[in-house]
Amino acid sequence: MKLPAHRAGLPGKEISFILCPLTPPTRRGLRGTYRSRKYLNMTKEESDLFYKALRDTNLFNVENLVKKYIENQASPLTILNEGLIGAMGMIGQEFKTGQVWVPEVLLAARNMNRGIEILKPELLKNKVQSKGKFIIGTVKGDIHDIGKNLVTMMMTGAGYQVIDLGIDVPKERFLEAITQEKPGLVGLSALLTTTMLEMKDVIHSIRQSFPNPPKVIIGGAPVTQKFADEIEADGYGEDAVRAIELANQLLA
Amino acid sequence: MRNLLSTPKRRFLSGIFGGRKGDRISVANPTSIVSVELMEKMGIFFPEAHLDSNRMAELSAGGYEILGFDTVMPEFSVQQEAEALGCEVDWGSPTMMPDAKTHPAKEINDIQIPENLLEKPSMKVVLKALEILRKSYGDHVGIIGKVMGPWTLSYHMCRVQDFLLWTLTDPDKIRQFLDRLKEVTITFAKAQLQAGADAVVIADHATGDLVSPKTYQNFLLPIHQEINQRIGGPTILHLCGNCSDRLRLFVEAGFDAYHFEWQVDAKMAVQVVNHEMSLIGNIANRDVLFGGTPEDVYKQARYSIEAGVDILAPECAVPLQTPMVNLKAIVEAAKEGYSQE
Repeated sequence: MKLPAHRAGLPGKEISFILCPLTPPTRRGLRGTYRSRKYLNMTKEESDLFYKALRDTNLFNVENLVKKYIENQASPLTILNEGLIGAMGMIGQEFKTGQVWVPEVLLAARNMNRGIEILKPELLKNKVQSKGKFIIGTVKGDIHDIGKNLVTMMMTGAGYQVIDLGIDVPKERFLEAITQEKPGLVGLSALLTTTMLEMKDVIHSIRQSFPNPPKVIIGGAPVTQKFADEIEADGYGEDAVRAIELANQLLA
Repeated sequence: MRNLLSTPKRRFLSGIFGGRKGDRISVANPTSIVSVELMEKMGIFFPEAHLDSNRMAELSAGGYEILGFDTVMPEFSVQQEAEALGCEVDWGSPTMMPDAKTHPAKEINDIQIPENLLEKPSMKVVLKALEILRKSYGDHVGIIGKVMGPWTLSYHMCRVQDFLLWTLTDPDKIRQFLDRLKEVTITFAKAQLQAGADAVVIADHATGDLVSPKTYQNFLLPIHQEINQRIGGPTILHLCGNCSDRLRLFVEAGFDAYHFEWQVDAKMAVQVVNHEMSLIGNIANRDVLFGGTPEDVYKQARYSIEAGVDILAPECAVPLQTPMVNLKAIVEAAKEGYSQE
């Protein structure tokens, strides 16, 4: 199948990394697309149940599924990583290859979030450690937030403590939040060619203001790897799943 | 064979209907070509130009006077209707386009179309500007009006994210929104044609990057068909993103022309559309007009001309920091005429 240009991404880019949240870092290099099932605790049929639940317009489906697994003493981490995030990864891949569009991704993210809400008490019982603090916001002058919200949901799901500063965030607000929260990572989002230039300023101010500045990753429709290099961001993710991979790398 | 030079208006009108080719392709702007440089040159700036009909008309005339385009198009933002429908609009600055700050509708009953819709200041200003342009330029320059379609108006009235989610969770609500808001589109478009527009752009952002062709077909196609029947004057669809997979649906909707992006290959589009609808486009904004050189612009323009598009244009409203020399380069490429075969 020939991919539409906007879905195929940059030349030579593998779509396989969409599955990476599932893949332990040590096996990440394994030609990307390969994902052996024998290391996983869930069967293909079980994963499919989670996939179906995330595609369902009815929230009861995902709620019931997560509750059933908790009742059956499944490990909360398995439910989270292989069930919810795994299914989200599959839908992310379908988005990349042009099989689904933004509404389906938004629906899946909403359902995943509901599943995580139900799972949260179990995760806390098992003392799952937060993987780190992540501050995110859409930069000043820009009020677009779909991409930012998806990243927020996915990063929360992946085990990060996310502090969402919202939209139209001036750089002073980013600096203030970094002082208070001391995050390991900051994410900047912009949808407009005009506002993406603001990112440069924010990154500069962060590096000027802190002796050990947090890493900064950027994203948004007009943003490219080239632009990220130009403004010296620590990383660029073209979608929410890539943002998780970046975070895992940068905070490792 | 006629060897007289064509005029901007003749070129534009001919292009809209895929008619006689003349000595060269028309260069038009279905969406804004205002840049900071153009504002400085004209001494007229955003946000005043969004809200004062004289300034609006004058600044849009700069597209013809300074840049050499065949058309003038006075509606620079996508928020004129939003304010009239009750959204709080931040009208921005010379370097920032306006944006709706509030989205007042959760349910269909939250959408009340005011009886004096066309009298609302943000609407009236566009109609007045078109009247002014008609008087000063109507004899020799193409005049383009612009309205938002019901999909875009829905984005303004509720949040984009909510609206997109409802396409799956509450399709009936989507239909109700579109059905009610299409009246705003039709009313404003008719008024613009009466005020002096030669053609009207219908901008409806069910973009190729956000929703599927099936979503367009299910929700918008019947609405667009009705809009085109009821407006009665020439219509240009502006719908961005990669829409390579749904060009035939736009033909089916009955638009006279489609304003398209660089992501859609011009050669492919000409083939698929098969002269059943005119094609206007498609110089890339970010990488070429904003980020490229006049040579980059020239290359893309010649590619589109040779592919057989009917009218040459930037793909979308140009970024405000676009260098003027790049906008002029589109016109320069057109002036070379059609390629000799």
